[in-house]
Amino acid sequence: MTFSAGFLEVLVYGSIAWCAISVIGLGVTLVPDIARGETW
Amino acid sequence: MTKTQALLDPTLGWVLLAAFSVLWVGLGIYWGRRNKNFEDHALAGRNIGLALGSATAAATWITSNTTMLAPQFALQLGIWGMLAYSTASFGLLLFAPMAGRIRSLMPNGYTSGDFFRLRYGRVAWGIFLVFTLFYSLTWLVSMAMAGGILLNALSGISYAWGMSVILGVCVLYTMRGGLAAVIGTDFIQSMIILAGIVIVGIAVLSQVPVAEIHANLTAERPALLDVLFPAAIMAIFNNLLFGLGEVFHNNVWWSRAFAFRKGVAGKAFALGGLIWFPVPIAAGFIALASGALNVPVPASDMVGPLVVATVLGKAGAIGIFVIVFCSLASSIDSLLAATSDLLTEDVYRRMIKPAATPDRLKTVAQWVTLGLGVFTWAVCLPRIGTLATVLFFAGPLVGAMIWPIVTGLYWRSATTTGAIGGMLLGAAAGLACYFLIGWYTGALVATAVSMVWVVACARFSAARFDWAKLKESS
Amino acid sequence: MLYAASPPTFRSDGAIDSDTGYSLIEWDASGPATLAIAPPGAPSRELYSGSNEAFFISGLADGTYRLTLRDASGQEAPPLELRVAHQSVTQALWLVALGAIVFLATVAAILRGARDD
Repeated sequence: MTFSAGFLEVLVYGSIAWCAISVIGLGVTLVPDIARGETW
Repeated sequence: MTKTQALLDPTLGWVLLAAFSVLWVGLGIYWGRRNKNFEDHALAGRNIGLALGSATAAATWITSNTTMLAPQFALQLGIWGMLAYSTASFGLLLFAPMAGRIRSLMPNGYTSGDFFRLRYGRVAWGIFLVFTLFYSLTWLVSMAMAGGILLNALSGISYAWGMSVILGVCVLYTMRGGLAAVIGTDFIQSMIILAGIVIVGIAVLSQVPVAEIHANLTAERPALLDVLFPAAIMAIFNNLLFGLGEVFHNNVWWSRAFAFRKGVAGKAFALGGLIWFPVPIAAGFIALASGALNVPVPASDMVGPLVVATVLGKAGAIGIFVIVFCSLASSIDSLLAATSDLLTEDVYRRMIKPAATPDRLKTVAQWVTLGLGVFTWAVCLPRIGTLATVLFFAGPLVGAMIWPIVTGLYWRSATTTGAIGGMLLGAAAGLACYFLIGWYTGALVATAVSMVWVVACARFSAARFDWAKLKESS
Repeated sequence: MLYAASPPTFRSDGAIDSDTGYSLIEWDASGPATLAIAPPGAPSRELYSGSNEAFFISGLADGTYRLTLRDASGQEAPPLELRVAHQSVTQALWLVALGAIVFLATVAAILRGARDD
């Protein structure tokens, strides 16, 4: 039983996309924090 | 030892190192000016918001191990290796509900040591301190050593200089800026690391499609695709529980639970875990492409940088250098800050000088940070390679603390006998199995034995803990 | 007269055993060398050619592999045997089962939260 090429594809592209979303998400979360003065 | 050519020339390495050093130290000094007392210094005024909170949880957990060891894990243990590594994110995800509870049970707490002392008494507290200091100091030493070794391999900067600079920079900005500096720089570092991983991943995929990687693995390294690869599937839960133990007990995470603004802690840890989850896969898969790209690997721990340098050339080498530097700094700074707070609060204030003023405590914490840095530097300088492997002995120690902590936070019936016995029996059984059977049983057996003992003690105990005792006034 | 360069040699004294399917192969050679591997019952294929003196091999299935090393002048090292016998799948699955139980119990304890207070 082996992991298929399709599975590897989903894993690799999925994780890269996920990281990209994380970067944008982190940046976007900072905006309301700054606006409300709740950064720290 | 085979000599591998450094990927960058030392001059460029020094320029990059200097630029980032100036940036981190400058920010540390700037942010440190807000800190008036120990609470500001150690916990950034207990007021960290969601964005910085999530970023610091993720960035601290992304060590040089994540960005460098993930490719090595993928090359050795294949697809399961990457997935097993990703399970370390469960530590952060499961700490999320615990962090909220910690914040409400202990509004005046400073460290995880405070919890052990108030919940289980001085003996359990002493055992905890021994375990956590062993883990924290070996983690710190192994990362500082990794820093020297990686900077040397990437740019030819000598080991002693690379290690000294990275440690010195982290000590300087942590000492001056406290947790605020650590968390502020963590935000920038996490953005750089994540963006770097995305760029590197896309660059590798533009050179070789996944189908080709898969075909190459099927032909030349079939075990890496095997769903029942024994060494890899045994690693899954051992790694997972190791990660749980690391996060649940260590003051790196507890100090953040105390430092986050009310209502933010749970969300920030959950987001941090979600951000972390794909990182070992996105950073690790490039190792699987080494065969299809015809990149010869003379040492498994250099596979990541070698693939990236092949695909992206000089730009890739610079990118890897920056990613490694950020991953190292974001973890070394946190560990320095949290361990110095632990020593200041649990040893200096609780054992030596209970009457110390907040101002005095801040000064002590700064000197302890410097002391930790000097200690780490002295241990790392001779470059004894076997030291880094000592970190793996910590698996059984941290695994054995999972159940005493979880039940201590949620069950009034959890007892001191349960906690002390769980930690000692679990650690002993885990260490025995580690040496007699194999590394992949250490954390697993320790957690299992400790769990059985802790649950049995709670079941037969008539004592009921009064939660109010955790609300010690500061 | 030029001295004939000594033939390349593997650094390992005897056969290498691996229970993980990976191993670091190291050798000494005075110049570039070519490393090849012959899987059980299959023809030899080249793994590496160049001046490195080590190659990290991984993902091998069970079996005995024969490694050969040749330098540019055609001199060969005595071949090296690499014996791969993965650990028991049964043992691995038992450990997975134990791990799953401990993990799920931990998750349950945390998600159930505080009781009797």
